[in-house]
Order: sequence, then structure tokens, then C-alpha cells
Amino acid sequence: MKTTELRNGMNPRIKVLYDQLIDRAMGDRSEEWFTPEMFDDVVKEKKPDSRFALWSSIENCSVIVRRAVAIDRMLIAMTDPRNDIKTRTAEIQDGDLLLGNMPMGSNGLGKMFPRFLNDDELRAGSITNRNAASLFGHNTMNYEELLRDGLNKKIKTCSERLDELSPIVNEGKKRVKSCRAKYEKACAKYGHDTPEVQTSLYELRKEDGILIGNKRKFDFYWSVKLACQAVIDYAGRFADLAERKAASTRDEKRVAELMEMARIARKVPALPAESFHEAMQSICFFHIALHASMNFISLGRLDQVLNPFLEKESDKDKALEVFECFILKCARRLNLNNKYLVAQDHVDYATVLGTHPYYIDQKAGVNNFLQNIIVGGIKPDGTDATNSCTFLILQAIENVNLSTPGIYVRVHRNSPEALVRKVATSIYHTKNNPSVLNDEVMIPSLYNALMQDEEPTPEMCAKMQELANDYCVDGCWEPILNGKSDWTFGMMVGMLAVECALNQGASLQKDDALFRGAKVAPTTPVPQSFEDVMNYLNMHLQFFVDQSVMSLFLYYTIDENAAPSPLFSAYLEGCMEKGRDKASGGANHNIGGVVIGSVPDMVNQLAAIRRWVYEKRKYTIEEVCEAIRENFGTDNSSPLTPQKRALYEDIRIDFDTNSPKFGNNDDEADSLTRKILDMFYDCVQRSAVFGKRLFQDPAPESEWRKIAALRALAGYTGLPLGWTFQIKMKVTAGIGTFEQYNWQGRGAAASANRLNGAPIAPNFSPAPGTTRSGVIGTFNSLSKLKLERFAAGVITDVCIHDEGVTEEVLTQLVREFVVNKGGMMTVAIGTRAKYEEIYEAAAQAATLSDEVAVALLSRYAHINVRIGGWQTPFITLPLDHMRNYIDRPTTVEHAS
Amino acid sequence: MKNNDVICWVLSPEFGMLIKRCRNRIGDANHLKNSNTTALSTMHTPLYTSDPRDSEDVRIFDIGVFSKCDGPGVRTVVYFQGCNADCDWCHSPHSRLHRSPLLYNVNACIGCGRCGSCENAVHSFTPTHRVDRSLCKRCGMCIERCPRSTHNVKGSALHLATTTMSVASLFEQIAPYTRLSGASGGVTLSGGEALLQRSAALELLSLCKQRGIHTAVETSGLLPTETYRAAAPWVDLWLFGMRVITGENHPRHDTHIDAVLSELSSVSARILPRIPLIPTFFDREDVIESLLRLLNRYNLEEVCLNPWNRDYDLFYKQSGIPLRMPPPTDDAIESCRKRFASLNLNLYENN
Repeated sequence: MKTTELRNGMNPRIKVLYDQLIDRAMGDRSEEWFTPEMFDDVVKEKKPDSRFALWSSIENCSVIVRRAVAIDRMLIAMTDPRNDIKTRTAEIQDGDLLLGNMPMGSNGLGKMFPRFLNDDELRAGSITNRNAASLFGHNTMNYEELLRDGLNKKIKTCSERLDELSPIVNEGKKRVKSCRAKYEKACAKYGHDTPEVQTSLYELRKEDGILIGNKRKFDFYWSVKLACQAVIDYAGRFADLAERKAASTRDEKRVAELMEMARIARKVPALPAESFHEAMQSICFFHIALHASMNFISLGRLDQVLNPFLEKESDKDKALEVFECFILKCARRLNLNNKYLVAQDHVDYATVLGTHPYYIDQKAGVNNFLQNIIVGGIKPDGTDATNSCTFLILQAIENVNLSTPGIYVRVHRNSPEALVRKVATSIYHTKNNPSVLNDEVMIPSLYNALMQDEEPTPEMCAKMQELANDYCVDGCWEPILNGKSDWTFGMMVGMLAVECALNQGASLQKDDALFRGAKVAPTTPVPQSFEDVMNYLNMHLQFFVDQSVMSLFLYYTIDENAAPSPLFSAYLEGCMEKGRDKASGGANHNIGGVVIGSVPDMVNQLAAIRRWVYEKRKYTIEEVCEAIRENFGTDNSSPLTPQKRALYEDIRIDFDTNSPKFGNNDDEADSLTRKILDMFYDCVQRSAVFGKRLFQDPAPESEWRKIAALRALAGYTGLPLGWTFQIKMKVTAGIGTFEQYNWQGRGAAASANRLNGAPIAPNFSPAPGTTRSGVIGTFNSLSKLKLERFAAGVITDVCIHDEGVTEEVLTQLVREFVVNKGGMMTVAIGTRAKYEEIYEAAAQAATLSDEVAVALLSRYAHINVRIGGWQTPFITLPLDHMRNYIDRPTTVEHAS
Repeated sequence: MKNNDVICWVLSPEFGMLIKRCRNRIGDANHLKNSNTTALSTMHTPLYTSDPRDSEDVRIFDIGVFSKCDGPGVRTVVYFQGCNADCDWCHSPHSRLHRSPLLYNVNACIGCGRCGSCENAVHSFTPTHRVDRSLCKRCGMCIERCPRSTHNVKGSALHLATTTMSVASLFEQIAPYTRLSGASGGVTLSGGEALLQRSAALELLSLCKQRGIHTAVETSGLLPTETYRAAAPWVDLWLFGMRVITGENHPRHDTHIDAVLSELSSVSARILPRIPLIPTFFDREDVIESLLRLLNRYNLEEVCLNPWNRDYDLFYKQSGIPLRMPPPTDDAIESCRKRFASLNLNLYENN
């Protein structure tokens, strides 16, 4: 199929639905959120499963079973007409071709879900900041199996496994009961700490361990079965709704559509899909169920999954229309008016990201839903994967032009010319979509990561190559395996390590209560040379990377008790075979990434220090540290002598304007970037070895106690995860900030081109305002950095001034990026003037009446930009993010 | 050498040096009266047709990328420093000299006064920021001291636009952009008058052609025919900036341009005449008549109209070079456009 066969722009049906979406998104959506009284409370419920009533009540069931019941409760609540009055989750919009609606929720606004953890669990989780809201998402579905087999087959498999396990568990319970009786008898007869008691206790624990293992499996299959059935029931209720709606509709054409939609909903996702429409409806129901149950899972390689259905479809325009309806479904939760966000703040202290209280940039994540579509690339066998559906999806995204779902195109040297051109055309028309993943960099990086700790046999190499070839990204941009890996990651801000290297292990942010600054890392001496600076930087990087890597392992010791994912685990490769949820190490592959932010700022800062302190010797390191601490003398309230203020100003100017800059094809800056990346990569490798020794790999008998002591020191006293969960973690390194560049900058002292607390550079892109040699200068810099080792991703955000940009230029831009071995690229096309205009409008809107503000802002509703992790409507950005963007558009000019 | 060429020697107040300028305009004398330059003498001398300091290196004052106005497709435009045309309507007057004067962008200036420490007292504050370019040695120290300036970065508060580099280095810089422009685009040599730096221009053109890159050269047609003959093998398209020819006041234009066009036509080069929309200059009936005659003589059916540059005065302000003509009114520009639209020409307009 050629792209020219597909419709350009929205047809009337889609335009009406689009306009309704935008209208709704511009308004106050706070009433649409679910509230606790709309759900049945799972932990109080007294309805044991009749067939597998191993416990007397659901309250006494395991967390994963309670969670599965909660999924059902959520989906029931979503079709309850009483709730629908406010939540509109049971709505069938006129003209819509798909059934099901997302409940309100987002990365930045939080999620609502029936409570399923009991009081004790919530209290225990307070120390680790983990609870039900900690569901990580950040993974991707491979919908191939769902479309091929349907949920009924999954349920059947679960029932078979449950039937097998049921007598085993019952037998195990009897054994445990018997052992306990023996143990208690021995205690009574011989007293504690006697050999007889020890023997009976050993027997009891052995049997209990076996029982727990089987119970876990049992509960896993039970929960998968309950969750899958909940989705089928949800689809059935929507079939009822569609039929009822048809009965009250006069338009015969629409009646036919509704009856067809009802027919499809009675069929999928329970049964295999046969047509494109059925496939889309099946994915739609399952995707909604995942997101409604707090699990923000991405959509994966949909062109690969859907193409067989598209090939059978005679009416391609209908297929396009259905896909556009799907995009609108995914985007249903958009909020385009900042005035109404506070009332929608449902973020919990324990929402995602490690064991720290919530600390991500909420406002930047208002319209992030962690739902990406990945198209193009190569197949597992290495042949090009571009197909007709690749173009259909790109066309649909282009036609509707919404910020979500995100779209990534995998491109390689031999990608078809038509694909590269289509990518360029879409970017040209949407000004921001799709983003580009460079197979030439990402596949080798993932392959090398997967080969960690593996014997390089031909079979193993071939297997890992297939997995790497089939990679995709999750809801932001972290590379993962297509429905085959569980992913977690930690973030760190590299600038903090630079501050520590300069300031003896302390932050350089001024704090009057402290002498040098907050001590955040081990003490190192005052650097006497630039070599010293780099050596100390290495030590501090290692310290922070160690922290990050160890925290990756710690997740697995907690999450199964707070946030299991039975619905997702049903289709994550390995979980069904092992009978384990992904939170219990069920996935066949576990990848943990350490992502470093602010590398461009590190380069700019260190290049300036090298030049002005250690080469030209214009300033001492003490003077520079003092200038940083004093925010380059910009705070007029600070009691500084005029001489000092002048000195700090000199330092700032030399650092800002007279020093080499990251991403400008400057050999000095580029070689420094390479050194920093080498250093970081090596730190991650060393931490990986250390982390696996502590947490994962069973230690040799001679080292057992020593390792166990270290593990306890690191905060975990359990058995190695390699034993308990069979985890074989592949630890990877990545570079970027996601949307956190403003937030992370708050903790970083002043540095070249930024003041204290100002944003750090977004992702792996030149700091705004420092691009001096155009996009090509940045690409040339990237080509020198050997990025094909950063399997946790490395992403560069390009913002091009729209003057002079053509589709042909963008086509070549994509090619240059691929050839220059950049990792991932997002492109926004805009102008400083336009961004300033919207900034002013947004600032003004805050003071206007609702009606006037909406009229003012809706003119810009279609302008989306990239903010590190995802695309977002520009008008919804907080003002500080907007300001950050204003300096970004580069005219792609060369230095004169 | 043309006996009728009119050259004036003028004193550049910025640099305290004599430079040669060709008087190729209608009513030069009137315009000179309004300028700050001082005419020292007027004599019939050969046209300033090559850079006396031409060397292996090339002097440029800008590189433009993704241009849609300088030839077919998307162009990478190299702006050569130095020009002999001295047009009143020139919008890059800083390109005329051997090196650009110091550009001062008042919009980027924060008035910190740090540049006032210049050893040559170029910058003074009385109380507003004044730049005496006649004292400037182009040492760049003021740029280094300025918090709003970075060497070689356009848009800085202070900027020395002229960069000297080897042709190979220049080509290395622009080559990726030519790839971005794709097969339908190419490289355009502009200026200034690119072929004044003849050897550098030819070297750059040959490098482009060796790599199959489409080349265009923008010229005023005021160089020796021999220069055009030498360049012709490397040029796919001549963007021929038409002069104000009347057949009366400036016989040099008529005869010389005629000779140049004859030379270029003889080598089958593609020529695209470009006429700037300058009211009172190009829309005079005698000028239009002369232009049409010339176009007909060489069967030049396609003509590109260059619209009036709205930022015409930008670099006058930044360089301290006095404006020679006030910006025309919108009505005058529109009237000029309509006059050309009424002609039986295959016209298109750069936008």
C-alpha cells in the first residue's frame, strides 16, 4: 500500500469527535474523576470464589488476588450508569466506532482505583513509600497473542493450571498442618532449641516453603483468570450499552454501526479477532483495562500486530477511520486548561519511581499517559519490518495530530525511502510527531546488554539478536523488549557529581546553615588539576551509580507485596510459564537502567573550568566554587563586595559565552563528553557486577556470610533474588532527563549557562540557547560519542525554527541522524515568536474569565512540543517549561 | 576594462581607510550627498573587479541554510565578504568591505557597560552606548567581555561577522547541509559579490560539482567576462541580479552586462534574471523597457522578482553604515509589484 492511497486530514466523523475531545479538554474535568464511594471496597468484601475458596474471605486473599478483584470492581464502576453521569466512562459518542472509555488519570495527576491493600500493608509500606499507586507502568504489550487467541484461551489455561495446583495446594496444607502439629508437640515435649525441635521446625519450614511456592502460583493463575474475565465482562456490558443505544437511535446507518460494534464487543477480546475492526476493539478494551487499573502500559509495535488484519481489509479508509477513533480514545483524558488542574490532583505519595516519596514534575506530566506506539524497524529475523500498517498508523497520527498516544518510528540505514519520507511528511505537518529511534544504535546497544552474563554460544547470540531486533520503547523512551521484558530504572543528576568533585563531596548550593554545602557523597580533596577533577568526578559518579543500581534490585523485594500486575503479566512472556507475576520475577528478561541527566551541563561546566581555571589560570577553583555558591553574584541581597561581585560576573561570562559547548561539533567539548560518557558507562558496569553479587547471584558457600552481611547493610536481608525470583538482571546505562529537566535543575547549583536552580539541559540535547552550529553540529557531536552502548536509551530533542524547513530537509535530517549514529531523536518545529506568543497568552489566561481564557487558549490547542519524555500540548505546560522552550528553536544556522 | 565605469574613492569613517566603490546607481551624486561617506575624487578608472587581497582562504560573513529563495530547491547559501556593486538598496551593507565592521545589536545589549573597558575606546556611554568603529582593531575583546555575545555567533550583542577559513574547511561545514537539502537543492554562492574572491569561489564550486551538488552563483554581472568564463564550467545556474539599466545614464551597464550575458549564453549556462522590487528604481518605464530588451535578446523568459526586504535597515543599524535610501512605503512596493505583474513575463516571486 502506498501512503497516497490514504486520506489526508480528518473526515467529518473524526473531526466531530476531535472537536468534542478538545472542547471537553478545555473545560473543567475535575468532576469526571472517580471517587472512592463509586467503588465496592475490595478489602471489606466477603465473597470468596466458590470454586477455589482457599480462604474464607477476599480480605484474607493474597495481594495479587485482591488486586484482580479490584480490576473487576473498577471496570464495573466504569459502566455503572450512576457513575457515568459524572465520569462519562459508559458513554458511546455519536459517530464513534470503538467502545470503551478511559477513566481520568495521568502520570502527573495520578490515578483512582478501588482500595485493595489492607491497613497493615499500607502501614508497612510507609517505610518504603510503596503502595498500590506504585504500579510502575513503563512497559509495553505485545498484542499479538491476545488478537490471535483471545482471552478465553488465557482463562482456559489458567483454569487448567488451577485444577492441577488445587490438589497440590490442598495436600501441601495438610502436610504443613501435620508438620506444625509435630513441631508444637516437640516443643511441648522437648523444649525449645533442642535437636528434636530443630528437626521438626526444619521440616515445617520446608513444607511451608513448598506450600507458599504453590500458593503463589495458584494465586497468580487465579488472579490472571479473574482479571481476564473482568475485561470480557466489561466488553459485554459495553455490547449491552451499544445495543440499547441502537434501540433508541433513528439513523439507520448509525444503528447498523452500533449493532456491529455490539457484535464485535461480544466477540473480542474473549475470542480471537478476525477483522481489523475487531483487532482494534480488542486492543482498545484491553488497553483501557490496563490503564484503568493504574497500569500505564504502552502499546508496542502495533504495525506488526495489526498488519495481517489490515491486509485482509478491503476498505482501507475504514481501517484508517477506526484507528483514528482509537487515537481519540487514548487521548480522551487530555486536560488543556491549566486552570482546572489542582482539583484533579490525585497523585499519591507513593506513586511510581523508586522508594522515595513522589518527586517528579507533576505539572509537566499532566498529559502523559505512558502510551506509545512503535512502528517500522526490523523484524526479529533482521528483515525490514515496514508494512502497510506502518503507513496507516503514521497517517492516522498525522491526521489527528494529538500529543498522545506518542509515536516512534524505528529507522535504519536500509529503511525504505517511502518510510523516511513519510516520517518527514508527518513531522512537517504535525510539527512534532513522530519521534525517531535509530536501529543502528539501539539494536547493538540492546544486544550487548542482553549478552551480559551469558555464554556467547551461537544459539545464545542468535536468540539475543532476535530479541534486540524486536525492541521497542515504553511510554517514555526507555528501550525494552517487545512484550518480553520487565523494566525498571533509576535516574541521577550528573551535575551533582560535578559539584561533589569540585566541593569535596558536597553540593555547591548555598545554605547558610552549612559550611561548604550539603554533604551528599564521600569527601574528596580539593582538586589541584583538571585531572584531579575528573578523577574525583569518577569517584562520585560511582557512588551515585551504586545507589541507583542497588535500588533497582530493591524494587523486586517490595513490589510483589504492593503492586502486582496480573493483567499485564498474563501477556508478558515468561509469567504464565513460571506462574509468577512480573513483580515476582515472572518475566523472562529483567532490564534495569540507570539514566543520567544533565550531561550537557556537565560538559559545559567542566569545559569552562578546564579552560579558565587550569589552562588560562584566570581564576582559582576556590573562586569558581564561591562564584557558583553565590549564584555568580546575581543575588543583589547577598552581601558581596563590588570586587567579588565583578569577579563572579567575569567568571559567569567566561563560562557562559567564552567556553566550548556541548553539541556544537567542538572537538574540545566533544572529547570531554566522550570522557564523561566513558566514565559513566564504566561506573554502571562496575555497579552492575557489585549489585548482582549483593542482591542477585547465589554466593559460593565460602562467601555466603560475607555477602549476606553486605546485602543487609544495603537494606535487604532476604535470599538472593536469583534464587527467590530467578531474576537475571541486565543492567544498562542511558542518558536523558525525561520531563525532569526543570525539576532536577532545582537541586543543582549554578553552572555554565544556568543559574542556581534553573533547568538543566533537556535529555541529551544542547542547553537551550547554546546551539551555535545548528542541528548538524549537534549530529556531528553525537557521531563521536559511541552511543551504541547506552541500552537504557539516549535521546536528543531537536527544536527547529520553521523557516526554511521542508519535507525534503526533514527527510534528509532523519537520514543524517541515522548515519551519524544518534540514538533517539524527537523533533519539534516552531518559532521563538510563536512560543513567546503562547507564553504570554497562557500567563494572561490565568487572569481571565473561563470563557475568555478558553477562547484565547484554544487557538493553540493543536501545538504540541516535546518535553523530554513525551509530547505534550504547549498550552498546558507550566510557565517555566514554556520559558525553557522559547530559547530552543535553532535556525539550523552555522556560525558565520 | 571599461572606460565608462565610474568609480569613486570614499573614506570609510569606520576604518579610516580608502576604499574603492563603483558608482552604479542612478543619481549617484544625489545619494552621495546624503551619505556620510566623503567623495574624494571621481574618475574614470577600471571597475573594482577582484579582491586585491584575494588569497587561498575565503572570507565569508554568513552561511544560510534551508533557503528557499536562492535557487531551486532548498539551498545552502555561502555569503562571501566584499562587494563592488554598492547598491543603494543593499540589505547587507556590512558585506561591502574587505571585512565587516563590528556589528552592534542594540536589542541584545543589556547595557552592562563591560565593553567600555575596550583599550581602543571603541565603546563609550554618553549616556547611550556609542560605537566608534574607526577605532576598532577587531581584537574581539569586547565580545569576550560581553555577557550577551559569543564569538562567531549571530545575534550576539556584538559580532564580528567576517570569518576567514580555508575553502576545504568551508566545504566541510556546508557539506552536511547540502545532504539535507537533497537532490533538488544545492549550494548558492552569494555575498557580497562571491566572484570577487575568484580563486576561492572557483575552488568551492569545483568541490561542489565534484560531489554532484547543484551550484548557483548570485552576481551583479559587474565582473570581467573572463571571470564568468572561468567560473562557467562549475555553475549550473546564474542568479543574475539585474542592474538599473536605462541605455543612457549608465552605458557601462548596458554594454558590460550585455557582454557578460552574451558570454554566459554562449556556454549554455542557465541564467535566471532577478529583479529586486525597488520602487522608483526598477519600475521606471525606461528601466523596464531596457530590461525587457535585454531579456528578449537572450531569450530569458523566466524572471524572478525579489521582494523588498522588510529588514532592509537591520544591518545599517548594526554596522553604523548610513542608510542611503529610506524604506519605500507599502503602497509603493505594491505598485511596483503590479507594474511587473502587468508585463508579459514568466514571473515568480521569492517569498
